[in-house]
Amino acid sequence: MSHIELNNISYRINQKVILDDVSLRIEPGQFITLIGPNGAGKTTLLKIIIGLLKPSQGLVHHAANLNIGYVPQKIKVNQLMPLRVKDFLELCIKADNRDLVYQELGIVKLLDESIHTLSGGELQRVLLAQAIGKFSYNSLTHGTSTQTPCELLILDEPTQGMDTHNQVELFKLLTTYNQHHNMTILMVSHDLNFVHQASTHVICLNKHICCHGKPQDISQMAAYQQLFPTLDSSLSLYAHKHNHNHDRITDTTHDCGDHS
Amino acid sequence: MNMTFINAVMACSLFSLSAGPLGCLMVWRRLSFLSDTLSHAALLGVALSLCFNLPITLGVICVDLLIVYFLIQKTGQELQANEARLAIASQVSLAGGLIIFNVIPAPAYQLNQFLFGDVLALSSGDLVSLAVLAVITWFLTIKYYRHWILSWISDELAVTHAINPQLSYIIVVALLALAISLAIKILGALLITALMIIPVMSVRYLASTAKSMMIYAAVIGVLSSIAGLLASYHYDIPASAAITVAAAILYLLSSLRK
Repeated sequence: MSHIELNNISYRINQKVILDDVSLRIEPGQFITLIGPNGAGKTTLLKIIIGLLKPSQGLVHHAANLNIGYVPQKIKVNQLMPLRVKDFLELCIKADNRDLVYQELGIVKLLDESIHTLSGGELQRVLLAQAIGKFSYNSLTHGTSTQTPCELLILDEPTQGMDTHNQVELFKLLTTYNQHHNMTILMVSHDLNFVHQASTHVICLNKHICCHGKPQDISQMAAYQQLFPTLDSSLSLYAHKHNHNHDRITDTTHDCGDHS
Repeated sequence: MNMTFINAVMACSLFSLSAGPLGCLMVWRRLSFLSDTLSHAALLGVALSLCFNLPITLGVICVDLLIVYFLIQKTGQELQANEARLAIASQVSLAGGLIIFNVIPAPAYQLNQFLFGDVLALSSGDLVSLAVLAVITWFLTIKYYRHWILSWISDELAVTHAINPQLSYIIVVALLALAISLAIKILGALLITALMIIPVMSVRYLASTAKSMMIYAAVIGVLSSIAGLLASYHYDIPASAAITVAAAILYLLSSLRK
């Protein structure tokens, strides 16, 4: 049975369409990456999946007892709120899971630090610990249980603001979780390289689902190529443009604007 | 030291016990301006209550919650994102309150009392209700501490930890409205925020955890109340102004540390 099933979801704010007729299923054991240009509705879709937003139309179905761990894109801890890593995680993780999670994610030495002074990579690890800590941790450490637990890890652009080293570490970790512990993962990412290496499924979103499939198949699809022109075609675009700017991302987004 | 003075100290201290955690929750969500708006709006609530002969607490809570409701309709939950609307609500409700006060017509001392507070107007019933407020505040703080901290950090995070961020937020706003409705007679619409926000700022370098910051803020509020009332008693200056200045002096002292 699917962990999550979305049937014909639409979401509008006033008259503006944010999501249009999106249907998808998240099956146990999948590592799905959600990609799409800025403003494609990725974060809105995640908010609908976790139940923070109600869709304007359509149905969301969660498996019974589905346990979702969520790594938000950013958190807003007011500078005037004193919060140590330890105090934050103790609000999130049950006592018997804490030590294992702290060790595995290497945050033991961060515990007494203030959450305000963490680096981007450290904060990301703390947020990941918060999400992983919700899961029945025995299945992770002792691995190889035949049953996939009813648990789903969701990450919203986890690599943003991370250096390459931290990105690689994160991907290794997620791949291990997925392959060895059968953890189901849904991740939003802009990093196409990463997407193609780590995930088992790719969903390409631009208000509606443009295309989806296995990473090796999807890069051949026309809709994908239209949304994410390869480096070569972007570069050749540069070569002919004399009043260009050097922000390739902007150009990519611009191309996506023509889409749909 | 007479009974009136002791009653005043008890009332202000009891209110400070609630103001500590509430003030922290406001400041951590950049909502100090909301507590100002709601205390000003409370004056309109008082005026309407006097006009229709209703209990003041009821009128104030209704007006405050209505204003929050309309603000949320316009801006979503993030009230601080729209300080201009907060300012309008604040000034207009203050103006409305003043007009109604003139129309009813209430004696001038009564308007002064609700604007600037009057610790001499205390009844033993007021002390009881402030004590109940302190109990409710700390009961909710212990019960909802986790809900509030996680909701204040991220709505998404809260939802996945089985916390309703909207509800957590509404509980705080409702508690704020209740506290204001009970304190307006003692401290006055213009100075309630002072006892709620200034002590929080005084302990910002002192506390290492959110929970201890709430407790320290309450303690500093009590100290400011006692110091302010003593000054008011000896030098014959208005009590709520003296308390505000006492709190501000503690704040300035705390700033020297950094």
